[in-house]
Formats: sequence, structure tokens, C-alpha cells
Amino acid sequence: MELTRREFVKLSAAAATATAAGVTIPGAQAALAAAGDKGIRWDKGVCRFCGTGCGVLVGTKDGRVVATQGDPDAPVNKGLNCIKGYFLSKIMYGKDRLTQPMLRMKDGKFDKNGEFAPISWDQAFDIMAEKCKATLKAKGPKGIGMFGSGQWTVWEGYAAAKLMKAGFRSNNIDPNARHCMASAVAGFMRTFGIDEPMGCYDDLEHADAFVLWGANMAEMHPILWSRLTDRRLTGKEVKVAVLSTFSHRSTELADIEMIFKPQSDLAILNFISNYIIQNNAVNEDFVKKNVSFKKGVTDIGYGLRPNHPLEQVANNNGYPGADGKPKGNPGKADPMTFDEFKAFVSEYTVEKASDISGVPKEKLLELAKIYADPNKKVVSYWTMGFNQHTRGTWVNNMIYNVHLLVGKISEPGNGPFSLTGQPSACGTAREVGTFAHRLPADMEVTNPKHREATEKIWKLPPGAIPDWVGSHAVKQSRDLKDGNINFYWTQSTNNMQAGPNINGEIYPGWRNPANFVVVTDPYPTVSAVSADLMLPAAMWMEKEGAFGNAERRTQFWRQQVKAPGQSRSDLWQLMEFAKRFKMEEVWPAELLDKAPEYKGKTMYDVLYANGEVNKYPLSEVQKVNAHGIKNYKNDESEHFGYYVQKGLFEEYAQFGRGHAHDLADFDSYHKSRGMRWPVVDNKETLWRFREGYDPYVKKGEGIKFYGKPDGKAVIFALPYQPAAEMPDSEFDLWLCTGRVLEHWHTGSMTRRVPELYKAVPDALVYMHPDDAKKRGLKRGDKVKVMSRRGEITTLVETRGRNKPPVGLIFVPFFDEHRLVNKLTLDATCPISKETDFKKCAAKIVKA
Amino acid sequence: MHISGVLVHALPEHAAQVQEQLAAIPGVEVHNSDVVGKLIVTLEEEDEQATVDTFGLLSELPDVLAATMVYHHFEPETDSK
Amino acid sequence: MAANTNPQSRRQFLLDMAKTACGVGMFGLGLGLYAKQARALPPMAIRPPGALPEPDFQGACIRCGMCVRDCPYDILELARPEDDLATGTPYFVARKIPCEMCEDIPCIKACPTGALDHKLTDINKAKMGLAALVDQETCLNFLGLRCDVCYRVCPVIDKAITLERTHNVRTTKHTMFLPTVHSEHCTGCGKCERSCVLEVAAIKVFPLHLAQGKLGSHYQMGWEEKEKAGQSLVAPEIEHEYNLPEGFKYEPGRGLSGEAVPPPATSPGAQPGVPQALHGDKL
Repeated sequence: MELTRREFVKLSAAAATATAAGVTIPGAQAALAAAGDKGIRWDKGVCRFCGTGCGVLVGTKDGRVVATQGDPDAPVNKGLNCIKGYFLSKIMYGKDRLTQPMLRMKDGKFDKNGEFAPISWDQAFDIMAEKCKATLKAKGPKGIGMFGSGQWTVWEGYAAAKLMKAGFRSNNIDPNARHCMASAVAGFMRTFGIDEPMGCYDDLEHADAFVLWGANMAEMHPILWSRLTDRRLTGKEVKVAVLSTFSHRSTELADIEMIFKPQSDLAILNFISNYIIQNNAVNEDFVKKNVSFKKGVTDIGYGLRPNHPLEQVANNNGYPGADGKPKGNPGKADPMTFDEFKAFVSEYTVEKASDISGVPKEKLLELAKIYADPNKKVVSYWTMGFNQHTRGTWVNNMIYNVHLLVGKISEPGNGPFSLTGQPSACGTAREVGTFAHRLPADMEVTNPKHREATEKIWKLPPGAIPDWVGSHAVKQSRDLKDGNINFYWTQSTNNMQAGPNINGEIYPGWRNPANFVVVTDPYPTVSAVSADLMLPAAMWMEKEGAFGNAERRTQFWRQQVKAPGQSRSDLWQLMEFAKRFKMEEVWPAELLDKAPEYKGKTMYDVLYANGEVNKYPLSEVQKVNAHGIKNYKNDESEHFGYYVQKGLFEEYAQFGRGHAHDLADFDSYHKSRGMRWPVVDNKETLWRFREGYDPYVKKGEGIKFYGKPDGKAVIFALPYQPAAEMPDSEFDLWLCTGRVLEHWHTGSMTRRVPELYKAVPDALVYMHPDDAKKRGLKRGDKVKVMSRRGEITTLVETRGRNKPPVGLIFVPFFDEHRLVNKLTLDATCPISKETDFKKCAAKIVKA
Repeated sequence: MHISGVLVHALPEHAAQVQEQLAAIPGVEVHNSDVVGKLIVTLEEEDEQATVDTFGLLSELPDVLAATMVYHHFEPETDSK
Repeated sequence: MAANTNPQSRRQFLLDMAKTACGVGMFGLGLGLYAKQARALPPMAIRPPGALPEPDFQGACIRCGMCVRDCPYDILELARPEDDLATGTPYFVARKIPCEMCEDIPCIKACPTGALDHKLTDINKAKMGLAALVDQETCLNFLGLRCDVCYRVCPVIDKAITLERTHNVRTTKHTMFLPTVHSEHCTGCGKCERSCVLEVAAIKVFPLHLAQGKLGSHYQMGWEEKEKAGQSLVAPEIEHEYNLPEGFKYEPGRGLSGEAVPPPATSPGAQPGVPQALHGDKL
């Protein structure tokens, strides 16, 4: 549409006036957009940073993303973005993009100690296949491993899980969401028997009180925070409580700020349960009908290596004991009665909770009253403060205890809500089942029925999917170091920076001469340069994608531009690599005998060209997307000759449809700004488990936690226990790690945006001025931060955004020049296997 | 050219008449908004004085509660695309 | 300050003359472009902490460069002849590299003359300049986005810059966080200007005399004066009584309230807190 300059200005005047008046002129914005940015093609997309899932419009010109804007029609963010979203258009154009495969070589051959040199894709797959096949031969499927991502698109995660679990028959695949959401997953599964939050972001406009448990939403979920703040300011008597181990940007809005001693959240939660019971605030009707009680085993260790003293004395850590049999099961729990639960929590008086946590009694009571008041609708939010916790699963269970006791759940404005940190931690890592113990739609590898159902959809002979739980993230690092995993492939993640105890565990494993490590990434991250082979990845708008955000919203985007050089999407890489293996090379003869039609075929044929994934012809690509981009193509479909993404998605969607994980059909996601599953008869689900809102709850049932066979959620009796490593006379400070608003995770994208780099160039150590003074330090001094595992050099910050209490320091992990994860301890929650990045002992000396 | 955006508040029940009257003024164009009674009006004039005059005219129309100047753009005449 | 025109020293006059002459000379040599660029340097370069008011500073500064030498972050520069600034005097440009606000203020310690005031020992009391959010049209937070980088990098966060929260009328469900500078606490270090992510900073640091407005002395802020005095400046108000329907309370400053106020009425147009009887077709 062409406008004269006069018409254009007039339209601008009208649009500006309308905006000021808070009204809209139908069609004006579209006409303006079409005319104003001549040659820019706009299409809908999703921000690729945190789990909020803000909608963006992506402007492409001459094969390059030149602009983005917040999507005003996206319900999550209504046109807003945080500062990372504002710079989305720049993340693909860092100067040092990898554009061709690079192998460590000496004298023209692979050499573990060689220098990186460019090779072709053919050569890259040659060496990978050689190393992988040799490992399979020597060690079998347990010798190979893959580390994936909550930044994988839905179909990438699905293709990877299938490649590992069905193709290579190895469950040694785990996503980096293990570092991020695993405790939330384990908490959901244990309490509700089904993963992911029951509520949605609309709770933000309905609650009377918000309680943040270890979540700095102001920086980490900036757009959701602006919605929460709006509710606080415009709602009547809306209260905000923020619990944290240090003051930060979210505590600034707090009506109740509670800075508690690390790990004591366990005691505070038990105190609240006790308070509710003692003050007769239990919603008895709700509890009787919808809740059962269990007592968990307690002697579960800290997820450290089995030879660690703390593990030797733990009798329920599940590690092999002296007799070679597992020592109990950390997830075990036995039924108990309400009265027994009441007695269990009765010791958590306000005095005891205050003692353990250091929080004044009045504040604890004030918080407990919010939960206990039947007339107050409460949403609890949490992220890494809960999840990255050696008792992460417990603490998730315990917040559910509180909500279940008072029945404040599964309705607008009432509910516990676990926020996610990655754009598709939910959509990919969790829903697709890329965890070492999981299959799609919440199924598990240890359950024969689940394996059978999966084998049916995947057209595999019975017994194809292995029944053993694979190595989780931290275990993979240990397996590499110990030489148990020899072939390792990571995609869309940067574990050499983000994983715990780099010096002690990760780096030695990757550089172990017995191992071959492949990293797929758009940039030469710390991980990529520590690997043996770097594969250049297409990112974000360079491929067709789908993410699932924290409120169960699945969102799609179309490929907007070509990836630079020879960069290829993770999906392409997985599928191409599968072509390198004959089924005889990956499956034992007796399994192949059960499916003789697969003999002589490649893994690619069996997994992808299986009549399902390749069901939709290339012509569909244009047809499905004609409303968005004329003559649309995507690279993977062009390459493989069919609509790859649709085929993978539709095959995957079979798992969830009819099983409370219903996804809509592929085509409709390309038209909508995302939909929240379960989507049944084209209707989204906003609140789960409640009649009227959730199609899986029948008329007359009221509430039904249908994830559990008896329809009842579980309240767990679990105690307070201390952290794995606490400050002592030598390492006298708690070290907590985390993020800043300006940078996302390891900074591999945001640090390449000059403006964001300039805004926050370095990771500083935030400490209390008194702690600095005590050590003869002042702001800006160069210091060494040390733990038992390593040291980094950085500058002291005693002012600014984070204000730790005396005895605690905070260092963000975005800065590849100051790898704070050299210091962190690889202790995990023994149930969820998620690392506690928030607590270890450290000291500071002048550098 | 001088192009201005003006927000005109009219009594909702008389919005239609106001719209007619506005449209009759030379250089004035009414853009329909999605809220009855809030009219988005653009003025197109040759100079500042004419803009001021027309603005005065439309704010004094019967049933107009208020007229607010929101946007003003001036640039030398070119009618290029 | 403007009213009190302090005669510049003869020395400064000569220097300035020399500068002009130099510019002219360079122009003659075909270096006019260079001179022009130099003049395009920010005319409000920021002085180091503790600098005396400008005319006094120029008088007291002996152009020794000691402060520049002792600045641990290499922030300070000495004005060169082509700069629009008294040659040899120290300054920094916030957008390029801001003051790190060292606790021990080494630049002041280094100053042999007191041009940088040795009485300033608390860097928080420095007044190098004052930040001002000069462009609300491009500031991302004024557009409703969540940038607030200037706020988070501020060493005096929550005092020198606060985020004032207002409802986002457009989206109806978000808050706008408007960065607001408070002159009482702003030291003028320039971190905000430096880190503003826009192509041209929306928040800038200016010397105090340029950035700060001044209230007329004929007007005082009643609420502040009352607080200072701890009570009303004029004898306390008498108790008032009002004609009210039964059960209603009316307090000065708070309006109608009390148990008897009916809950928000459901009929359209009804206003909460106003008795039904007062509702009518016309007000």
C-alpha cells in the first residue's frame, strides 16, 4: 500500500491522537505499518529469552531482521518488552557468529589438543559418527550422552529425545532445564501427578496478595512484574510479600520484605502450615475431598558424589550401598493422616521459624495470616530460589501444602505458580520429555505402560525404549570425568559456564582424552571453545519454531531469514546425523528381528521418514503459512522434502491429546498468538483441575486433581534440614549466584549486543558494606572470590541493585570472564537432581 | 503543510451530528474510533493561523464538549510518495 | 550565579583569545573541520568531584594534571586547546566514561590547590552535575517497556534515581516505571547517561546550573514547611461538624467514610461511597 506523504502524515496524526485518547482507529496502525516502513515485512514471533513468552513482531528487510516491536496484540505483554526484548533484532548479528563446523585438528586430522580449524559438514558428521560408533561398540548406549535445552524449539527437543531414546536406545539425554526447573517438575509430579502450573498469568489481575519465594521478578520477569505492580497499585488493598536471602529490586515494592537465612524457607513454610492448622483456617471441606497426606523419607543426602561424607551417612539417597543395592529411594513417601501431619508441623512454632530463619516473628505472622485469611486470594510465585535448592522438590511440595490446606488453588487469583527461566522450559524440556527419566506428556521411562504407549506411536518394536533412568545433567558431567560417557553432544546450551563446579567436574570431563565432545551453538561460547567439535547453529528467526511458556501457552513463529554461512538448525543437525547410522549399528539383532522391516534402513528412515513425520508434503508449507508470508519456505522442509515441523509436531501431539495435554492442530498455532493447553475443541484452558474451567473435570466433580489415580493432591510432611555446605571460619560467606535484567543466562547473546554490554559489562560481587569494611575492602576494589573449588577475580560492589545482608555475597553468572560456577558446589536435590546454585561457602580476599 | 490531530469529545448521543458538522468543514477529516463520543479528527491547513482558526471553529460547535490538540506536524510542501 | 557576573581573569581571557586564534589559524591551514569537531564536544563537560564553582575553579586550578594522574579509572582528561573548555583543566564526559565514585576520592587528594575542594570527603555528597531525563519521548520506560537500566546502574539507587510507578493506560494491565532523578542525592557521576541503551542517551548529566530549576523565593511548599515545623504554621484548625445522614462520618482531608458507607453500588453510574440518595440523573 502506497501513501502520499500527506496521507501518511495525516494517518500518523490520527494514530497519535487515538493513542493519546486511549482509543483505536480500525485499520490505521496496519496501514501505517505497511506504508511507514517500506520494504519491511512484519510477522509475529516470540521473544527467545525468559519463560514469560512475550509476543514480538519481527521486521525483515533484504533477508535481515532489521527491527522488532512488542506485539500489541500479544495478550502476555500487549506490545511491551524488557530491555533484552528491545534488542532482539541484534542477537543474531554478533560479529563472531560461527558459520562453519570447526574441529580441533593437528596435521589435517582430529587431535584433542589441536587447534580449531574449519571443516565441511560431511567431515563433521564423519568424525562424529566415527566417535559415536566406536563408543557404542565399546560401551553400548550408556556410553553416549546428550545435553539439550529449554531453548530448543518444541520439534527440536522432540527430534532429539526420539533420536536418543528410540534411535540410540540411550536415556542419557537431559536438558539444561535440569539446572532450572527440575525441582518444580518433581514437585508437581509428587503433589499433583501432572506437570506445570494450574493457573495462568491472568491470576495477576485477580489476586489480593502476591508472595514471591526466591523470585526476583522485577529483574527476571520484568513484564510480568509490571503487571503485578499494576495490580498492587490499582487493586484495593493488594499486598506484596517478598521472601529472599538478600534485598533486591523486587523487595522495593514489598509490603512485607523478609530476608531469611539460606535454606530456612523450609522452616517458614512448615510454620505457615502449622499456623493455618492451629488457627482453624484449614479449608476442611476442600482438604477432606481433595487431599491425601504423606510423610516423605528424610535421610536423602545432597546429590553429591557417592564417596562424599554426606552421602556415606545418608541412608535414603538411592546410591548403591555396601551390598551394591540402592540405599532406599529419596522420593519415597508413606501415607499418613491429617492428625499426624498436624503433629508433624506442630513443632514449627513462630519462635522456631524465627530462630531458624532470622525473620522477626511479626513478619512471619503477617505472612501466615495472608495465607490463612479465607477472604484473601493469594498467588505464590517462585523461580530459582526454590528450584535451585538441595531440598528443591520438598520446598515445592511444601508451598503446595500451604495452598492445599486453605484450598486456595486452581481458581482466578488463587494458586501456586512456578515461573520459568527459559522460553521453552515448559514447552520443550518438560512437555516433550527431554529429561533422562521422561517421555512425552509426563510419561516416564521406568513405567512399562508408558514405554509401550510411546513405542506404539513411534512405531517401534516392544522393548525398543530402554527402561533405565539416564544420567541427569550433573551426573553427565561426572560420567564424562570418570570416562563412563565418551561421546557427548550439547545443543543450545552453555554448560561450561552455567553448570556447577566447572573446575572440579565439568572441564576435566570435557577435556578427558577418552571423550569426544560436540557443541552446537551460534556463538563460540565457553562451552564451544572447550569442545572438540563446534557446529554452527541457526538461531531464533533463522528457523521455524515453537516455544511453550510458563502459563502452558504454546507459540509458533515462521522462519524469517536465512542463517549465516553454513549454520544449520539443531533440528537439521539431529536429523542429518541420524542418516549416518544403519539400524544394525544401533539396535541389537534380537530387537531388529522384531521389526524386520527396519533392517538395512537408517535411523533417519525409522525415526523421521516413518510415514508420520514425513506425512505432510512440501506444498503444505506454503499453504499453512500463506496468511503470514507469501511463498513461505523453511530450510529444513526444503532440505528433507516434506513439512518437517508439522510432521514432528503432529506426531508428538498424539501423546497428549486425550491425556490432559491436548495441543491444538499445527496450523492454528501459526495463526494465533499462542494457546494454553489443554486445548480441547479449540478451547484453551486457563485454570486446571476445576469444574467449568478444565474440560477434564466432569460436571459435579468440583475439583479434581486427576493427575493422581484417586483424584487427590498430596500434602507432604517434610522437615527443615540444613544446606550441604555452610559458611565456616575459613569460608565465611554464603555465595548466591543469579542473573541481572540486562543479560540473559550466560550472556552469549546479550553480551553481544553492544548497548547491553555497555549497560552491565562485568559481573561484580555484591556485598554488605560492613562485610567489605571488615575485610579492609572498599567499593571498586579488585578481589578474589574463593571457594573450596576455585576462585575468580572481580570488583567489589557495596551499592546498587542488590543489597545482601551481612554474611552473604551475590555474583551473577552471565560474565564469561568471571566464571562464578568455578566456585559453586555440585550438590543437588536428591529427588529432582537440580543443582543448588544459591548456597555454598566462599571467602573474599583482596586481589 | 500543517497537519494536526485533534481529539474531539462529543456527547455520545449527538456524536453522529457532530461528525457530520465536522466533516463539512474544509480540511477536516474524521476518523472513526472504537469509542462512541471520542472523535479523532485531523486538520489539514496551509499555515499556523488557519490551523488555529479551524481548531477554534470546531471546538465551538454545538454538542462538542472539548477539543484537544494532540499532534501537530509541519513540513514544507512536497507530495512525493 | 548568572546575575553575579564574575569578571574572568585576564589569564582566562588570553587563553580564550589564544584558542580562537588557534582555531582561526587551523582554519587557515585547512584544519577547520578538526576545529569544528572539537567544538562539537559536549559543551557541558563534567568537572571532577569537589570542583569549585566554575569561575573559581578556573582561577584555582593550576592545570597540573595531578587529579588526572591519580584517577584510578583513567576517567579524567585535560582540556586541550581545541576543546571548548579552559585548556589544561580536568573534565570527563559521562557518556564516554563516567565517574566511579571512589570512596577515598583520590582526585581530590591529589589536588594541590583546593580547586577540588578538600572538604569533600564523602563522595555521596559530590555534586559534579545533575542527571536529567531530558527526553521522555524516547525513554523506553516512558513507553512502558522495562528497561530501567539507568536506575539499576545508579550507585545511589532508590535515592538519586527512583522508579515512579504509574498505570499504563494503553495496555490497562501493566505499570510504567518512570525514572525520576532527585537532585538531593544525585552526584552527577554519569553512570546513567553512560549506560542508557538508546543511540542517543535520553538521560544526561549536566552541570548543576544548567540542569536545575529554581523556585521563586516568594513561594514555599506548604506541606514541606509543615513537616519541617512539625505542626501547622498557623494555629490548629477548629473541630468541624457536618450535616450528615445517620451513621456517616466526614473527616477533613479524607472525605466521607465509615462503616455505614454502602458497598460499591451495582447500578450503573453509581459511585462507591456516595449515598444512594445523592444519585440522580443530574448532578
